[in-house]
Amino acid sequence: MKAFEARDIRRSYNGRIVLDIPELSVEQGTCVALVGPNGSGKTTLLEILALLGRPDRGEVLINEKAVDFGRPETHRRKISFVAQEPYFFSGSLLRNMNFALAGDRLNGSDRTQRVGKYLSMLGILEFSNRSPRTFSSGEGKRAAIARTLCRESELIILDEPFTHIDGSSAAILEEVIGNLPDDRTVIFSTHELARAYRLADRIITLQDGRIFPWTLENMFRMTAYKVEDGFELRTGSGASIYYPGDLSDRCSYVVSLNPSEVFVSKDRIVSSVRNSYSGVITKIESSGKRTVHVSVECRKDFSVRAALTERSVRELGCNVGDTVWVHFKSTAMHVH
Amino acid sequence: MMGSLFEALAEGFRLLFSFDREVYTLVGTSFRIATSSTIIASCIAFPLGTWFGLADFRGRKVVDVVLNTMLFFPTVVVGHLVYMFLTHDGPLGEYRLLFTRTAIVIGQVILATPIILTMVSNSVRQADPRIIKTALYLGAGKFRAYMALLGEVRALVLLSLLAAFGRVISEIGVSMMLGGNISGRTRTITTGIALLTSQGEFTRATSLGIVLLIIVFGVNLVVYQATHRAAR
Repeated sequence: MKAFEARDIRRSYNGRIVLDIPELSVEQGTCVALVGPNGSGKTTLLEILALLGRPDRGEVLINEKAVDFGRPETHRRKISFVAQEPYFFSGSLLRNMNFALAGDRLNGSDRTQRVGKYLSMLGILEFSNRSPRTFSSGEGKRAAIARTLCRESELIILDEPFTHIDGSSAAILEEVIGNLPDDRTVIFSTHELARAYRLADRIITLQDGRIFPWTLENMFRMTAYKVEDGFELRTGSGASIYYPGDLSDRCSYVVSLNPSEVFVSKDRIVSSVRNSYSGVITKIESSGKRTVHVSVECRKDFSVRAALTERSVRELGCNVGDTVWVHFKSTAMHVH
Repeated sequence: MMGSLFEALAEGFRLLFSFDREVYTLVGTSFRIATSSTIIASCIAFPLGTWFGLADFRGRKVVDVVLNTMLFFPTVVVGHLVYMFLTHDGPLGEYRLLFTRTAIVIGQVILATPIILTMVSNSVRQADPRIIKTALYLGAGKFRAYMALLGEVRALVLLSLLAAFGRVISEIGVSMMLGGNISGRTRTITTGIALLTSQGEFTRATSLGIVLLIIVFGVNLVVYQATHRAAR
């Protein structure tokens, strides 16, 4: 079942199109990271999905039911949202938490228990009687997320939860988001790709208000040279990739590789895959989703990231400094 | 002159603390009428002011100017206009409201509403735009979101109530023209002062004026404390 769906969404400001999404859907129970640079339209899209903003045209479906933007209240109550710069009502954190729970018809002890659970989870239980306006940026973000999560909505949208926060707050937030129950659908925006990989099941890249078909990593500026049965794309240091599609000879392109479609082996293998390179493992990053990202430097300007399962990494016995081979088919490439 | 002023000041305190029945009747009437007018005006002005502060429509500047003009409506003009409606051959003459406390309240509501409305709409307009959004995404409906907004600007909302109360308790035009200054029924502190002055009882008139000032000072003190607590 699809938790969120956006169809033909468009939004303009002062005549400039800031969001243009022909189609986007998010399956229930998945964690999706919306990645993109500042001004790419992340907040606009998230606010539309949270039914806090209205698109100029297009349709939004929540749990496969179309939303009437004239009366979005019923659908909106199912969604919890945390703004990039959250606002706190005057008074204590407890008062803010109680505001969020006011519609839940909980009795006194259940409410106290619920509030305590989320404040403890975010490590701010001892701040409950303080005004969140006096909190540091990281504490404030944690408080805003506790206030939102305590509603226990199935649909959660977090706009840049990791910006302007200290390392310990970021670690707590990562743990909380990574350990949310499986039935929760989470969409969060970030401009940190590594974090997105650690937490999300899926990454959506937004650039200039449009969804990019590839992630903003494994991106290389390459020049195309015509060869017998296609093109050879070369980096400045001479790393080359075979591409069978149509390109212009001696023109510059941006090439992106999907990390999930990059394979790693200890030895050179003979296969139908035309693109195989040896290199040294420079980084191994584990994510909370049983995925490990292995960075392999094949040339100075050609470092490839591969998304592998924890088991594969274990069985291969990959360690930083090892020499390995990376392989990918030309279908894993996006040439722009 | 200074001597008579001090005499009046002393008399004012003496009247207030000697529990003079006539004075307490005047104070009670004034207080009841002004409080009723302020409450009714706030019931009209809060929702309208909130809407006006948030809405974006053509002709808003014109409405702004009209509302600001209404802040300076001379009380006798309001009294005169309402009189024309309530007089026995006026459109509302059949209700026999003229020279009643209700008539004064109607006039005073007209005076107080623009004050509260303007102040509420300005404070809502200047409030943090994230307030309503935050309330909405925390599951509140529109009404609760607007209440949350008013809650966040409650210091200014309280000030608007104070300003409106101050305006109506100290006015004389409406009370005199619509109340008729009937002893024990529609005589307020201000109409009482006017009567005493016309009778040449200057000291008593001045002391009543001082009683009025003491009351307004007391109300101000309470609201000042409340707004400071609200602002925290």
